[in-house]
Order: sequence, then C-alpha cells, then structure tokens
Amino acid sequence: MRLNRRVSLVVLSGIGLTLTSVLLFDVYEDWAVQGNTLGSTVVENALPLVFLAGLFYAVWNLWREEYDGAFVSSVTAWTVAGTLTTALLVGWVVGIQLFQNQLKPWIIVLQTTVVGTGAGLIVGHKTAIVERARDRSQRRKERFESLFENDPAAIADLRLDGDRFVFGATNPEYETRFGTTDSTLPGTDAETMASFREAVAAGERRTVETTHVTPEGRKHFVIELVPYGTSDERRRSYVIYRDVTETREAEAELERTVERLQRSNEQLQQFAYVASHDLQEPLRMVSSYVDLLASEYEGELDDEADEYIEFAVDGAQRMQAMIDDLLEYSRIHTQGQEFEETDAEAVLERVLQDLELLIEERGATVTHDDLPTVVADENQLGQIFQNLVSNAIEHASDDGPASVHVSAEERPDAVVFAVDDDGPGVPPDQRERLFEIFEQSSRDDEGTGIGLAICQRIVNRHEGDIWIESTDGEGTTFYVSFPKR
Amino acid sequence: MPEREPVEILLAEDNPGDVKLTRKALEKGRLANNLHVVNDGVETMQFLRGEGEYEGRPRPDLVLLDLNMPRKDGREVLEEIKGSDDLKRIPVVVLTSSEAEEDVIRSYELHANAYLTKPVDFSGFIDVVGKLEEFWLQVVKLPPE
Repeated sequence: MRLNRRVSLVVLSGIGLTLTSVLLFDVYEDWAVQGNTLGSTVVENALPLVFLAGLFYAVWNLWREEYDGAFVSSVTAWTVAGTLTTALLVGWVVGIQLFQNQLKPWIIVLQTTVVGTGAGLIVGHKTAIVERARDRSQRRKERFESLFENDPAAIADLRLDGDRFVFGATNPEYETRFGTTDSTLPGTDAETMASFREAVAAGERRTVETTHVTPEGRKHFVIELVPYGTSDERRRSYVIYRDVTETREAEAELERTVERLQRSNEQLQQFAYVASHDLQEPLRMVSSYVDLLASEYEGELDDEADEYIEFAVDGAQRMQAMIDDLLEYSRIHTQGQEFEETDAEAVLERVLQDLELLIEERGATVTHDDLPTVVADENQLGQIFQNLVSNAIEHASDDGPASVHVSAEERPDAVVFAVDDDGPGVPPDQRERLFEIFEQSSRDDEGTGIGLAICQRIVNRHEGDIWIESTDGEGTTFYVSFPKR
Repeated sequence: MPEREPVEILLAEDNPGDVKLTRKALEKGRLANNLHVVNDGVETMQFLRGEGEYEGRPRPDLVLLDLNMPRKDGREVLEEIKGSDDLKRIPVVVLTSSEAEEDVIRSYELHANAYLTKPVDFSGFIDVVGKLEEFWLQVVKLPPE
C-alpha cells in the first residue's frame, strides 16, 4: 500500500511536470514564434490549468486519504466518467471551432483530454470521499445497532424533556425484562430519578445499584446513566441495566461462608480451651488421689495392686501432658503476642540454653549459622525452634547422639529456617500426618506428638509454611518460612 | 521450736476431694493445726463473723479460699473480708485451680495476700501446702489479735 502510494505520487508528479513543460513550450511557441499576445496565449491554455488543478487535488488526496481497493476503484470510475463527459463536451465545442478557424488540431485534442482528465479527477475524488463517508457512517450505525440489539444488558434511550424522562428506543433485553415501557425506570425511586435528572443536565455519568422484582424473581441491577447529547436541547442519555444478581448472591454466600467458618473456628478454639481447662479439675483429682494411694499403700498390697497403681499414675500423667499441650495449642491464636522485628539468632540462643540439660544428657551437638531477623511473635518463634531442635535431639539414630544444624535462607518474599538432623529420617507415608495434632510417627515413643502440630499452627498464624524433607537413614530437614512484612 | 498453740486454719472449699487433700497435706506438715472447713461463701462469712452455728468458733489465723464456690463465690468473700475492719487483717490465700490471668489480677486487686494454683499431683500439693504453712504461720510476723 505504501509502495503503491509512492509509485502513484511519482507517476502523477511526472505527468504533472511533463504537462507543465508542454504548456510552457506551447505558451513560448504561441508568443515568440507565432506572435500571439501573452494574454490570448494564457486564455488558450486556461483549460490545461484545470487539469493541473485536478492533478494536484489527486496528489493532495494521496497524502490524506487511504487508498484501499474500494476507494481506488471508486476514484477510477468517477475519473473515467468525468474525463469522458468533459472530453465529449469540450471536443464537441472545439470541433466546431476547428472547422471554422483552423486551429492546431493536436493542441485541441490534447486540451480536450487534459481538461477532461482534470475535471474527472476532481469529481471522482469528491464523489469517492462522499461515498466512503456514507459507507462508514452506515457501518458504524449497523455496529451500534447490533450492539444495542444484542447487548445482554437492558438498555433504554431516554430524552430529558423538562423534568420528565421520555423513552426513546429500548433494546430487546429491556423489553424482555421489564415489558412495555412507561414513564418510570424500574427499580428507581424519586431520589434516584432526581439524581439522574441532575446528572443528565450536568452531562455526568451516574451509577446506582438497586434491587427490582422482575417476573423471574428478585434481581440485583447496576444501573448506569450515560448522557450523550451535546447540545442543551438534546439532553439524551442511555440507561443501562446490568444484572449482577449472580455476582451479588455469590458474594453474599461467600461472606456467609467466611462468617460461618470464623464462628466455627472460634467455637473450636473455645471448645479446645474449655475442654482442656475444665478437664484439668477432675484430672487433678484422679492424679492426686492415685498419687496419694501410691504414697500411702505402695508395698502394702500385693504386687499386682502396685502394678495397677503404676498404670493409673502413668495414665494420669500422660493425660495431664496432653491437656497441657491442648491448652497450649488452643492458646496460639488467642494468647499470641504482636508480630515484631525479632532477632532469630538471639531467640535460638535462648532456646538452646533452655535445652542445655537435654543436649548434655543426649550428648547431642547443635550448631547454627548466622540467623537474620524476622517479623514474628518472639515467644512463638522460640517455641518452633524448641520443638524442632528437641525433636531432632530426641529422634537421633541408634548409631549415636544427634548432630543438629540450624540455618536460614533469605528469599525475596520470606525467610526460610532449616533445622537439619542426621537421624534415621521419616518414611514418606508418615510425613504429611506428622503435623496433625496428637499424631505420633512410629519413631516417636516420647512426648504427646503435639509439638509439630503446634509449630504448624504457629506458622499458620504467621501466614508462613512448614514442610519436611527427609532421606531414609540420612536425616531430616524441617523448613519453616516466615513471610516478609 | 517452742511449743505453741495449734494454729487455726479456715479452708473455704466446696470440693470434698480437695478438702481431703488439704487435710492430708496439712497432716504431713510440721505444725499443729486445727483445720475448719466451710463449703460455700455464705458459710465462710458466717464462720468468720461467728454467726449462727459458728458462734464461739476460734478466729482463724489463715484463710485458704477457693474462688469457685456455690451461693457466694470466693471473689465476693474476698471483697467482704478485705472490706471489713474487723476481718481485713486475717491473711487470705487464694488456693484455686484457675490459672486465668484475670482471676490472678482480680484477686490481688481485692487485696488477696497470696494467689496459689493447686498443683496437679499430690506431692506437688503437699509441697505447696507445706510452704504455705511455713511462710504464713512461721516466717511471717502477723498482727496480734
């Protein structure tokens, strides 16, 4: 297209220049050789000037208009028509002169052609431009009409007449939903209408949301008012009704679900707290009296009785440990501290001091890298370290005491701590369930199995993540990530 | 230690299990004591004021008070004791199973002299009662009656 246009420009400019030369030559010949006056020579050549004008009009349009297939053929057709008509007209007039005055025939033929072409070019272009504009406006009209007819929104075209809205066209969706139009907009009250009148007068858009009972039931609509008339007398606007019933119902449902979940979560926490708290009381009775029984009657009954007592004491103690853990578990959310910038290394050092006895007892080695600061509940971060490190120490392989290493990795969005041990590892099928409450792996014969559940819950509260990587026989690494805030 | 009169201890406790445990623990203590037991808040106040069936009762040297009791709970009892010119000098030790922070704070606000949580096993309980007895009845200098 671009190339064609350039070629056309060159060709037309060439023709123009050639013609200008011919004209100049003719003027020179008439004036200098044949001795005509300059005035009569210019008059004689006035017609070719028309052609030149047509030519330049064509060149001018080459810059402005887009020469697509239809336009070119339209220009061509009109140019040919214009050329032929003018040629016939001028040819007839000049032909008569030719017989009377013996003018130079070749100049007349040339002039006829040239004038015809010039006129043709002008007429051709003008007509083609008008046609194109008509086509375009037709296409635009069709496009908008099709949009209007097929839009899933209900649309009405309104005109504000004084204080009253007069209905123009309504689209099929509008008619289906709201039936025949009267003077009111469905789902609007006096206040909304007043606001709409104001908006139309000011040429501003307005959006309101409303509920309206249609034959299909109660529906939620977003009504949009779009003024579009420019002059004051033509204060027109579209009113567009979009059905947002499904969205609103889904939102409401979601809200209800969240609320239900929150409530159930709160109840669950409350339950865990109350259960563990209120269970303490009777359990204290059981364990106290079993203790008393043991201290006052051990050895005085037979061996079997002593064994019974021992089982009872053991059971009561384990139950006590579980209740304590359950209380701790239920308090993670209710009694947590605020998140603050926390020096993880200092927290770990403190935990290792607390674990000194255990570490010494088991002959374990615990090392760590430099640890960064994280935004966390300091106590709960300590709980995580404590649980993971003591876990690793307690679950050393049979070959010897555990060697535990704590490290950290800074990622763009989180800090990931890793607690790495050289223990026997965790079989794949047990890894997922490790984090469930009171779930003990087969390797576990001490503790209640709540330590990792507590870690998981703390991590959840911090919106972080905890996961395990383990190779059978080669150790386990627990990863805990804290998002950066 | 010179021979002295047995100390009078008032235990306000509605759970017979705890009453028995306290009695046992005090028996194991070194101090001769008379333990009086009341089972609710109303009885506690009657005992302290020597009203009704408690006429002629000895004035206790120490009150062990449970917070959760029928009729009138320990908090109200505490408030009444500490609000009474006659009774407020008697040391009151709250002995309860509640670990709730608000109970601890509330008790001290009502001028409890100490707040103890009942240990879960018997040896722990003996330990606490022993220490309590030692501190409040031997170490501390109490006002004369």
